[in-house]
Amino acid sequence: MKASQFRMKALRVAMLVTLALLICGVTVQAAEFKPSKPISFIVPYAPGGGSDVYARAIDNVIKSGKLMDQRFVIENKPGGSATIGTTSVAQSAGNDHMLLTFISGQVSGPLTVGKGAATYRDLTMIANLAKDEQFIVVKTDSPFKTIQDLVAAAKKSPGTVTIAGTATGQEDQMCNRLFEKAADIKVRYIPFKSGGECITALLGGHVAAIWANPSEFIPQYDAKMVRPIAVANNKRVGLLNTVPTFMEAGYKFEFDFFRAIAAPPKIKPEVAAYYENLMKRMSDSQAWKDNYLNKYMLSPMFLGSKDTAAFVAKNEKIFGDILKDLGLVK
Amino acid sequence: MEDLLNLFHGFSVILSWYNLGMMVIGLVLGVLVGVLPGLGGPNGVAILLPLTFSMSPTSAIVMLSCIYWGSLFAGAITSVLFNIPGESHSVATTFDGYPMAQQGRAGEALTASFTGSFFGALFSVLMITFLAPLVANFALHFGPPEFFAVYFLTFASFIGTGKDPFKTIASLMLGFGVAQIGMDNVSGTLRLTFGWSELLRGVDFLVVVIGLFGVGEILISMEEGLKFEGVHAKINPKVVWQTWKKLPKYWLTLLFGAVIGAWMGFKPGGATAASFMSYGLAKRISKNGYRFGTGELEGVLAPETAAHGSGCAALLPMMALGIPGSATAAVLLGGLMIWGLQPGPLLFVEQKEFVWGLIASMYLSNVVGLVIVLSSVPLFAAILRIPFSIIAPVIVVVCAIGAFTVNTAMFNIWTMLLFGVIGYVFKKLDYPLAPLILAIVLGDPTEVSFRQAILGSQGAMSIFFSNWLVGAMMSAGLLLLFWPFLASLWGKLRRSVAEG
Repeated sequence: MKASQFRMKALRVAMLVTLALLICGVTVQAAEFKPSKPISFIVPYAPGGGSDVYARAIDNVIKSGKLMDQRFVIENKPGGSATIGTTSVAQSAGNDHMLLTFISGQVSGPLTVGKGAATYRDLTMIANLAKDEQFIVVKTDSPFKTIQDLVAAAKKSPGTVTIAGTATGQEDQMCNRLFEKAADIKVRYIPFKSGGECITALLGGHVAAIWANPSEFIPQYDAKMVRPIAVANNKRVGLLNTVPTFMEAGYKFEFDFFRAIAAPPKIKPEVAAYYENLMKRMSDSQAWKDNYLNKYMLSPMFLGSKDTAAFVAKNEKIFGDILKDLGLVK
Repeated sequence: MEDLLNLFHGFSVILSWYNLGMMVIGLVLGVLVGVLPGLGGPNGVAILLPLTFSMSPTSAIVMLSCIYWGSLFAGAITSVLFNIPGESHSVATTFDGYPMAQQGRAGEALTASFTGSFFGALFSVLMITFLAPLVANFALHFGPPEFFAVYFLTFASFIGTGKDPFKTIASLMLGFGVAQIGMDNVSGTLRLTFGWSELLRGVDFLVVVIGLFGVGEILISMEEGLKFEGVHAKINPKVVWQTWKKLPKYWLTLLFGAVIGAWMGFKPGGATAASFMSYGLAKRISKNGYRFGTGELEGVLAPETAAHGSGCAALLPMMALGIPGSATAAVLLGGLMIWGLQPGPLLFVEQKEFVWGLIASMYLSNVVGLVIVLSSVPLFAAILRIPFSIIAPVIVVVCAIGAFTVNTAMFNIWTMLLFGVIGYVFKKLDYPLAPLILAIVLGDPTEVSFRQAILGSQGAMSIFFSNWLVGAMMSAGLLLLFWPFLASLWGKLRRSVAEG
């Protein structure tokens, strides 16, 4: 009896010790996750585009600041409004050595594509790093001096003012729809393939105005060929602070064109924490501000893993409503 | 005059051993990038961009633009030798280049293609030097209706020329079908994807081409008894000189090619469209037009002149307006920011040294490039002496790698094999491949510009005749399209007048 009791006790102690060791082991490991090989950094858009520039800037800042022992291998997997590249990451569950650039278009894309396209729920959100601002830009000699002029013209003869933007069912068109509703007007939205094609059409006088991000129009703005007349943000933006917001002009809407980072689903919490921390340190560095945010005129907006997921969820709801309104989602 | 002074200043910037060395390195890398199908200019430049981070902006742009020129030159090499276009803009080069190689005239075809390339480049660079602001402003007149008119003109010039109009149209329609697969840019809806996520990105044109030409060709050769027709290729350094002597009489084709190239360079994807357009037009205006497709020198000159001209002209909107005219120019534009320059219209004013250094380097590097590729002609032509049983597997592997590289997808390899079989069947049944390719390349931009134009005009077709530019192009297109019909009508009319 005694012997067996003793044995039981010994067994229990042994089990406890093992368990404790296991837990310790896990926690020790947790604190020490470090990538052991190069990290594939998937960009679901073509080389030279906004997301490509974004990924390469992150890579450069991390490399030059020596923030990580391993390096990134950037892979462009463009196509199908980014659903191809995004889905490939969603299918790599548990891969600790993979990251993905994740922007607002990857939230709206799956909504229009429907079944089979990966959404943010199929990924692990790591961090949000920046916000790209949406401007309405006109030619310098345009009769529209202010956004009110444009609205007045659209009110006078609905559906005649042409506004170009990049693609259908993505940021520019959604933003355009919000603007239409807020100002109670109807304009004619014409989709082009890229920001470059939009600005070409604007300069050639083929459209009255365009939706564009600063990086798409700053060169022509500096040369006084175009001027922005309103920005879809809650406050005026950095160097372009002479441009009023839509809010100020009396059209109550704002739009988040965000740039975040995601990872495959089902990665361990410590892995996600490692990357979140890496991105935090990167976004705090001066090099990030100088070589990305200021250079391409984005607003800083850091959110951690949890906040990013909540932020993306909020936007998915907003995007879903606009796309339904546009008839792109049933 | 000031332009000339600036240009000479540019040359003084470029003429250093370091910059010349970068130029040669860039050109050689570019030739390699161009020879490998799938690895095109934009990818090549993007991959090698990090190499230039520590260089001065001028040296960096010289090297990167040289990679681009190198790839523009070399895209024709595999087109001529193996019927596999190394770049999308050298597809039209296969139509006559490959038959020439089969007749043992590979050296001649390569020389003509490189020289044509050089001529097109020279024309565009001259235009950039002296007329940049003027041309940039003219090009801006091109909106959606004008672009549709341009594409319409191209299709019209192709349709009327086929031997069997039914087969031409069938081939064209299949091409339009393939071009529709994937996400529609205008309506945002999916077309012909059958709920299959792999088809979301559409079928890449280059993959189709690699399959139709490369794999299809190998299947045909296997059936014909494992031999390559070009085995007896005469390889003689004199071939360069002999070909050059023939070129002056094709001045009209060269000129048209160069003008088309310079003009289409403004639009992304312009080089490919320009090469087809130039080929179609040369076929119309040439006395030997009916022999096109059987190994005509002009059929090689026309597309290559336009393609390289357009590649060079693509840098014009980048420098004058800050808008990239091609995917490669877009990557170069990204490079400018990394090197600390602000791209845009002010570049010409604020960074004179850089801009004129680049323009001067375009003259010099195209001359150096021509020398490099011409001296490689015997080398490449010698590849044809390798027995088919050795070269065929190598080609298939290169094709597969190329198809995979286009957007790193295994699916592309299956697509390539499928189109290989289609290419074989087409050849056996004597259906023309050119209209199929043309429709896949231009189908999408044609449709998009048509719909953009119609969106702008609220559905009124009169937009296509709303100004002299678009009206003239549409009329020319309609005339070309109905030419066979009009010609026979005219003939009947004359006969009836003569009889009555």
